[in-house]
Amino acid sequence: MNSTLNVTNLSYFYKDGEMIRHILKDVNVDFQKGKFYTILGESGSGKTTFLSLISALEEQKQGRIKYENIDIRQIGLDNYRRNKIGIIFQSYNLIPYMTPLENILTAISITDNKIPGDKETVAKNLLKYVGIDIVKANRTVNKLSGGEQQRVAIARALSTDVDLILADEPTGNLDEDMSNEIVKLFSTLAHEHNKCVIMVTHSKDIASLSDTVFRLEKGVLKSE
Amino acid sequence: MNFLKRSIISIKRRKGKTIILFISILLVCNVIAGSISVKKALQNTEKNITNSMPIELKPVIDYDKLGSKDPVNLTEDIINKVGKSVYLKNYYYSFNYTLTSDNLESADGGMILYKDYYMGLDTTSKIRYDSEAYFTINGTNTNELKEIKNGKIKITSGTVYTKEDIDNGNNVIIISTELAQKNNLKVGSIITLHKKIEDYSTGELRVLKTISEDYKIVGIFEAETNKIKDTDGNVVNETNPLANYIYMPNKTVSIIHDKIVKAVTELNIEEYDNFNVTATYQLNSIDDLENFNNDNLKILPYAYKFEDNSSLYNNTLGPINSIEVISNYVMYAAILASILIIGLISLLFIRERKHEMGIYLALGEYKKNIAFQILFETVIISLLAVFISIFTGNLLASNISKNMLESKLSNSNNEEIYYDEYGYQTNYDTDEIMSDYNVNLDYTTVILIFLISIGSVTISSLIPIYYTLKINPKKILM
Repeated sequence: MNSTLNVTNLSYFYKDGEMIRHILKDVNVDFQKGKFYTILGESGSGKTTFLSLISALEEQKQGRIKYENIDIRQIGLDNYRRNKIGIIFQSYNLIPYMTPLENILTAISITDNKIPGDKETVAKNLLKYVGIDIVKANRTVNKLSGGEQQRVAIARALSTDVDLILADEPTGNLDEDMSNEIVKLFSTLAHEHNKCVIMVTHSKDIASLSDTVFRLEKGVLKSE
Repeated sequence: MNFLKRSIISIKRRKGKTIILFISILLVCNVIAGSISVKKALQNTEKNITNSMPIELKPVIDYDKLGSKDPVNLTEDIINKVGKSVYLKNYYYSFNYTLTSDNLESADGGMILYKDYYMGLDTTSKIRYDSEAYFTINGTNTNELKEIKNGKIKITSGTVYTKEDIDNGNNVIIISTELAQKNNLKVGSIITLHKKIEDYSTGELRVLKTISEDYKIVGIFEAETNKIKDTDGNVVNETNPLANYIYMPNKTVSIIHDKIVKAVTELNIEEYDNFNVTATYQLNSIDDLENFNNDNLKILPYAYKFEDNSSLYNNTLGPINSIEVISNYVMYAAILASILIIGLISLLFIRERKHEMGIYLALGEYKKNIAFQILFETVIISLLAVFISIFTGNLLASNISKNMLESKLSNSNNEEIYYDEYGYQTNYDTDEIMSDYNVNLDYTTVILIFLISIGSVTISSLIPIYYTLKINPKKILM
């Protein structure tokens, strides 16, 4: 089966005075569509750095990251973020003075991907799919609860019609019930919509709901 | 939801920030608009004054340098050679002479020439002792008379003689309204002017020969008169100083003068000849004064120099120029202040929005679109501010600059009045300058204010744009 995202010999380090601190050491991993992956690790294990590299928010120094067998540097980091991936952050990162609908339309306007049908209808349907009704869809996002904002963030990640969803501790600010609902949503996306979902978390319980769990320990990625 | 729509949503939803930015832009743009309005008004006033009071130079004899030598007359060749200078806007030269008439009466004007005056017998009395009227002949090298151009006279009947009349030296003349009325003359009338060659050697006045020419009136002019206060304090017009001046082509003057010179030579007598040639050169700019002198002084005959009206010009325009310098400094300072103030306020607001900018970058938005969004937000707010500033800045500047100019003028002894050889006031007094000074909004001023203000705002947007494009989304969002 062809990999959606292939990481080969990925290392990351930075200089701290005379010392060189290794954050990631020779990471090799393959991610495929239709699966929900979690990267488990303690604070400082390098999981956020790993996510920032595979989401092209930072350029790798050593190793290769290939999306559908093409190096993401060859695709162009901005282009890769614009057209190939959807990112979900722990603190939602929605534009606060906009409504959920406007946040999603912003993402749709940025991508070069062709959106099937009327953009506003697509955005409304996505919000409905993640559980945001039309009334809430037209309120500014800072009037929504944390769980609702995270749902909007998921809808935004899906709105650009990409196959790869990357989530950085998406349940970190949510209660247990809400966390479970969000994780179920990820699972559905992978299994029913054939997306490749990669989620970074420090919670073993959350990780246990995914198809495959990787553990990052001192920069080394191991399969569980 | 492209970047333009995002700009509009941001302006609408972030009302407090929008109002703060709007007020800041309004304040600095008022200063910019005001200084530009004042600058334009001063330039217009200067242009009007320069047009009616151009920088003029006249070749004159430097008697200190001449000493006991006989002066050499200016010739047409020399005048025209100087006239080719690149620093000139225009030049005129005139053959001046005096002719008399037995049939005509002098007009009642300020410059009636009587025989007594000429003979040096009685320079104070204006009572005529014989029947002759004297007229000052003003030859011209062009039919575009200097006096018409500077508004001293205007043709009220007929026209100025043609270029053909000038080239051929035809006997055509222009006379004053006063002279025409006094002698019941009109366009088409023929008058006879002459020169009597007289002899006093025996103690008695003998007319040896009279040289006459008939001249056709082609135009009648009305002259501007100075306003003076009479004994009761009422403002009244002075009599026309050009009432007894007759304009004709230089060549026409030359023809009768040549005949007189020939007759005097044949009679072998000494006759006072008051024929003279005067030239006036009008410079493009007062800045060309030194260069013009350097280039052309050597062309003039020995012991000639150029006499100019620069001191008069500087006296009148000095206060205007000094306010213009101030308005320039204010404008440059306002532009710089607007770039810094608006730039820094925008930067502060963008720092508050760094998460938003990070989100756009994380979503892969084109950097040019993010830059345009920031620029549009500032420019859209500016449009209304600049539009209001055009009117409010103009109003404020009008009042302030009028007070400043009036104060400058009154401190510069501009109340002193200078007169030319005809008795016309040559400089502008404070009241005239102030009546000429109007801070108006014409379309060029509006466009200039608009371009400079929006230009400054655009430049100021570069500061937040630079900051935004340097944002590392990972550091902000993760």
